[in-house]
Amino acid sequence: MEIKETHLNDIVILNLSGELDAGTSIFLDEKIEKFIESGYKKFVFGFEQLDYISSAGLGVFISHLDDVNNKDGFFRFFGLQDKIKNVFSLLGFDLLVSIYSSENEALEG
Amino acid sequence: MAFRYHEFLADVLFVLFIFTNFLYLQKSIYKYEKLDINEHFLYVNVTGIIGLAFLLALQVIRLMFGNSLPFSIEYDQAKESFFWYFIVHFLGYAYFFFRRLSLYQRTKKRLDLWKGMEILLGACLVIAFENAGFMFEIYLKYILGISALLISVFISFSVDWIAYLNTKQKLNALISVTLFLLIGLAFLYISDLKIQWLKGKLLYDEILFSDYFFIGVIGNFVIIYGIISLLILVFNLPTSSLFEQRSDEIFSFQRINQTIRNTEDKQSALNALMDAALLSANTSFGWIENYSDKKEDRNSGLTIRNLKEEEAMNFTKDFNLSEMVLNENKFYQILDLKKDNSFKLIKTRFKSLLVVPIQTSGLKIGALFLLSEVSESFTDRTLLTLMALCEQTAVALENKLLLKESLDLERYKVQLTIAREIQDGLLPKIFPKSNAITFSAKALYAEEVGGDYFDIISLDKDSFRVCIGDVSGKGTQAAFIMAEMKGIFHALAKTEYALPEIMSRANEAVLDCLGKGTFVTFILIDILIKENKVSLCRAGHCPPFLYKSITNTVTPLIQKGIGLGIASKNDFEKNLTIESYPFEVGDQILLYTDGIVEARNHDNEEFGYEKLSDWFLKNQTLQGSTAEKLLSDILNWTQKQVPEDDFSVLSIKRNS
Repeated sequence: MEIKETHLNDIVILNLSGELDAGTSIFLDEKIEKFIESGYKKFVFGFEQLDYISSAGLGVFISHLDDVNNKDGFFRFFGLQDKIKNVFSLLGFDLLVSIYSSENEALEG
Repeated sequence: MAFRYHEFLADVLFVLFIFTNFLYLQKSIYKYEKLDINEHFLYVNVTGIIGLAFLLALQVIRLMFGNSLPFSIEYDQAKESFFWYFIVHFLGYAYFFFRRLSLYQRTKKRLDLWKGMEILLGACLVIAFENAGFMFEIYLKYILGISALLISVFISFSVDWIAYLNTKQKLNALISVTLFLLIGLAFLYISDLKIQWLKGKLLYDEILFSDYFFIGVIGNFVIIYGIISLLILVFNLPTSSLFEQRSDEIFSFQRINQTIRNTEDKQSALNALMDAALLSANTSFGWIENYSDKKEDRNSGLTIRNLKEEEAMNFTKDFNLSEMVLNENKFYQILDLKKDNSFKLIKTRFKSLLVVPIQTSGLKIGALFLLSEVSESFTDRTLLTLMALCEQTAVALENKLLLKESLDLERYKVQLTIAREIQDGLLPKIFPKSNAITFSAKALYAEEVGGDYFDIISLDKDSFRVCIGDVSGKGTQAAFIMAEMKGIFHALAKTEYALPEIMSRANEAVLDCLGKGTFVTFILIDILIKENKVSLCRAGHCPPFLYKSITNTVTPLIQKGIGLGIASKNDFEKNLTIESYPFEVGDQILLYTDGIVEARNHDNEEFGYEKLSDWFLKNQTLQGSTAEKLLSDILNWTQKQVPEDDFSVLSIKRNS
């Protein structure tokens, strides 16, 4: 998995590609952790290139979601492939976060 | 010729005297289990010296008193008595001592020689009578004497005891043998024989016709054995230290092996190697660079001898010699540091340097460095020994490591087997018996243990509560949470709470008790036979399939609900729904975990919901074997022996 990070004002944009599984989710977790520690609370995740997400990968978002919401921040996702969209909706995760079709929409909110 | 009784009696007594003394001496030398060579030499020589001292004292007394000694003792008689007493003890002890020495290694040939020698000596003793006077006496004595001489020479080459002495012991033995021969000469000088000899008579003629015949044969043997031992000792001395060094090397191999076998510690093995290497290379200066994967740790465990660390660093800081010898798996030698282009700038008292790798094909341990103050100090032989020592150490360390790894692995396997057995016990094996319902369930784990959970309890005789869950993650961590889920389910399922209440409380339990980011997808179903319906709550789990017998169709039961441990109480309850579905005779529900729909075959094609739905529609006639059949069909489809993810299936069929 690769993570490409960009910033727009106080928003962190992380574009993920490849597979987010038990092994690779550790790197993403560390990254998010570091951003939150240095004061960031608004995150936009680009899933256009992400082919697979495992339960451990989902766990990374779930574990920080509360924290970010409590600080008036957000997790926004865009460009989900159908399969991942399906995983999100089966789990009910789409009920807790906002999902957008493009990066611009996600940034505008 | 008249028979003279007193002479005969004197001869018999003389033979008895020698015989009994020899018996006594044999006993006294064979009572020791181990032969202390120098102690016995000392005893022989001291006996000889005391004898000589007595005879010398007698000589002094004669000078003072003339031939007639005090107490009317004749000088010659006194001298003869002393002489015989001491010569028998001196030669007799030496004889048995040398006999034992020559049989240090008992071979058949040597034992045969000694048997012959003893028979000859017995014969010699019997015919020792002075001038027995029978015919051919002289020829017989000639034959016996010469045969004994020949056997003595043969026996005298059995001197392998010398090889077992170290240098110091050899020096001691050399002095003892020399002294022994000198004492022997002194006795010869004192005896009457010498006088005859000087008169120009043949020594053996005199011996043949005197009391000396027997003792002369013995004397021949001990003198010959003594002389040959002396010569062999002299020739052995120069090579002795080299021999000892080689045998020390052999012991150091053994010591390294033992050290490694008896300790967990690599350092003690390296210490043993270091000492052995210095001994073999005949130098006192060296160190072992303990190589590890981290380069900055290169000098972490320096095993150093008689050098300061800075001195060693001179040779390692600019040249990565250890890596070089390890990569090439060859020793590296500089014969003269002063002339070497790379090393001549280093200020050092040393002239030659040797680096030997310590590694096996699988394990890099380090490199051995040796320095010597002499140029071209390390011989080819030394190099071979050092290479062998290093390899031996590396192999022994690797073996130890492999053994430990395989033991650890075995332990983990046993632990996992136990864990699996425990987890097996957490899943229901026997399902509630009912004429109206047939249950079928089975789980297959990707690893020894996994995170899938299902359970069935009977609320009363016409209603059942069924659940299926899937813990996020895999393996041991998921297995622990799965066990916890069983606790949560059993605590809540038997209460009066309605399904949504149970689900909400389970969500809170997962939120509170399990780590952040851990979640559980879960389905809870109540089967109410009297009412011909099922009630269902779904928390993020894969939607169950419902087969309707009336229409012969399969539909997924998708309804809102967030997985347990993801959302707060409010969000969870807000999004949770409970739905009821008619559940009539012939209908069937299929519950499963995501491993089933995500199973992939060799073309990386996913099994998916559609195939599962089709399979379910086609396999409605199975009675109680639905789960087994589905799992084996999917494994067949993936063409894999074991699943890559946890597979669980639970089917509920309405019979009547």
